[in-house]
Amino acid sequence: MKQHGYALLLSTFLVGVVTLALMPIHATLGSSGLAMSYLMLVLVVSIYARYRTALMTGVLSFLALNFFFVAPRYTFQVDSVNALLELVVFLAVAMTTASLTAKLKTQTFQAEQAKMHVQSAQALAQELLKLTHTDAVLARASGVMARVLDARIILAQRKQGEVTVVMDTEASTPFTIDLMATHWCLDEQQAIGPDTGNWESFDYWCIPLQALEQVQMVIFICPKQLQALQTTPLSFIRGLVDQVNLALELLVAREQERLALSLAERESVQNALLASLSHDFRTPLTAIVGAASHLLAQTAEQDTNHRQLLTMITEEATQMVDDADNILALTRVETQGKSALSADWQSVEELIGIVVSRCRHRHAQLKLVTQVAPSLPFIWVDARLVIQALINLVDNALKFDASGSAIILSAEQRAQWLWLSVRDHGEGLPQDKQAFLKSKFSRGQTESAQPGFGLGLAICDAVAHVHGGKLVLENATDGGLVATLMLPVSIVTEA
Amino acid sequence: MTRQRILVVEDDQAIRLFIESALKSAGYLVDSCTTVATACAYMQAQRPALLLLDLGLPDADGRTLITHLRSRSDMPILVLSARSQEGDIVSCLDLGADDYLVKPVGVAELLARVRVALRHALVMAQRDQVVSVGELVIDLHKGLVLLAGVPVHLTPKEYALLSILAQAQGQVITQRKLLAQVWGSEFVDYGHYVRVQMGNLRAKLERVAAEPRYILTEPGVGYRLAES
Repeated sequence: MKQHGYALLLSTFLVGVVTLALMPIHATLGSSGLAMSYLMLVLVVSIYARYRTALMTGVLSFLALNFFFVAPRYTFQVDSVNALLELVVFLAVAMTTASLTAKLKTQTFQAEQAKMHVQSAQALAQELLKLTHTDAVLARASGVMARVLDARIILAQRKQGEVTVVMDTEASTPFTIDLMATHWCLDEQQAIGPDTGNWESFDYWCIPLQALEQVQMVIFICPKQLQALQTTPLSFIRGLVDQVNLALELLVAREQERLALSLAERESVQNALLASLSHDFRTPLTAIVGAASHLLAQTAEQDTNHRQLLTMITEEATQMVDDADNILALTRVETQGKSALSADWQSVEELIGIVVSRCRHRHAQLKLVTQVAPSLPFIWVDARLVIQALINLVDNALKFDASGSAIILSAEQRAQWLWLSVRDHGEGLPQDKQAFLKSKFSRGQTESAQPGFGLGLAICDAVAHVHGGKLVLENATDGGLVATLMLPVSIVTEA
Repeated sequence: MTRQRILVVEDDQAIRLFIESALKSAGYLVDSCTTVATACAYMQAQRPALLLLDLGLPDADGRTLITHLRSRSDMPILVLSARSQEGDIVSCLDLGADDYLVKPVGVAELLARVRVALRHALVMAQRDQVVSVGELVIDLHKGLVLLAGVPVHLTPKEYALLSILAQAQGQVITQRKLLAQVWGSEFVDYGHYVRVQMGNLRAKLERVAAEPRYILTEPGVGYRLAES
């Protein structure tokens, strides 16, 4: 009401001034000149004052024109139809002028506001782009948004169901977060507050930050002037939040790129190291094996003592090469996972064939029987690793089977799994030692006289896992151990 | 028969010592170098019957020597490498090396490979020969395959693969070479084609397919027909 009074006062004063000014010259101006003068006033008022003041000025001008200048003067009566018509047209033009000007003013204001919004968003984006840490982005974003929106900005994070405030531009003033709203906002990934369609009666906005996948975070925007809840367009607020999301996404992408790069670097360094380690191990052992086998070839058949010693040197040195191979393979598979594989479609029969020939080559007296089911499918594996794993299983069977009966190497398909089994006729598995046996460097009996680092099963297990399969150790019902490498028959993805 | 001369290129002194000693006691004349550069210089003056080449040499990649030699000579080249260098082995064979040996290597294996390589160098010209291993006889002239005296029927692809292996009996043939010669050069990456046909061949020729005695697989490299 107070504002209406002010508008009335202002318009009365202005119309009075104009009327007084027109008094001495009204005869010279004529009726159209008078009308023009009052219209001029309405136009000026509607440009510089509010809409309602302009309207009142229009009405008062109409009344003043009628009372002071239209004959009979100093009455509200009109003596001719012509004059009445003139007055009506004047009123209509005055009203139209006021409202058109007001509309134009609103549009100009909106355009300016939109421009300001775009500029704010751009400025925010540019500021955020320079930052390299998530925390810095959040801090700067809060600061800028607090300034631009004249609001208090609070960031809250949900971790394992607990909501905590991580940033507050006015931390000294207490603020109670609506927990229910926060949870709803995070669960639905929707904004809350005026104009959002959710909880419109709130005197703040609560908007989820969607860029950080692992972190659940919402931003609270609490305008200091309650009026801003109506006048600030939601699209502007969303625009600012989008910029924050964008900056965060960019950071995440950059971080991932950096990680991938450093992983690749680490792998290549590691591969170079493994290769040189392998070379350094092998070179002296090659000399030892070669020299011993050469001496063995030169030693007379009847010199059994020397022949035994030389054979032992050859065998032990070869065993060391195998151990080195196992350590290297295990390291590579465990540190690099699937990327360590150089897989191809392999024939099971062929893999078994290689295992048999390598094992026979190594143990001349080996009794090995193969049972390969007919028409097995090709499997997508790293041949070298699978061969190595199977040789380890055969070696293990040999070490722990004192019975001297044949070791059975079998391959068959059961549903979507290929079972590659090595069966011995020894004592079988110690009770409850399965998991223990598979862990690196563990052995069935501590300090046993059997050679090897106990790496054999660990590498088998790792090879099985890296191919998406598993290693199964079970005692056969009729004695002995069955060690099975279970590999999936079809791996669709190659990555 | 004159004693054949072998050049050993190996930088590790201990390995060189045993190789030289083993080759000498098998009746060969042996010279040795430790770098690619000295090997090239040696080759200017001498023409050994066989080159035994270690891949990890200090001054240059052993492969440069293979390329260099193959441009002007058919001299057999045996490559000595570590097992972890499968890719390198294949590229050496593709460049023209005749065979390879994986460290650690025993004397018996070393001498056997040397013998095979030298024999192939001698009989290079004679193509129409009969190759045999165990009970398997491959008559390359007549295109006949006999197992224990009984003819074996092979498909054209199977025979093509077998004859390539037979012509180089005892030597490894890379999978890519088999694919290029039997299927065509655009198929060199279709390794499973070869594996399927080898499976069929083994089913026809081997007593136990999973324990091959004739067609041996060199994982990651290729195949070889066993020596008698």
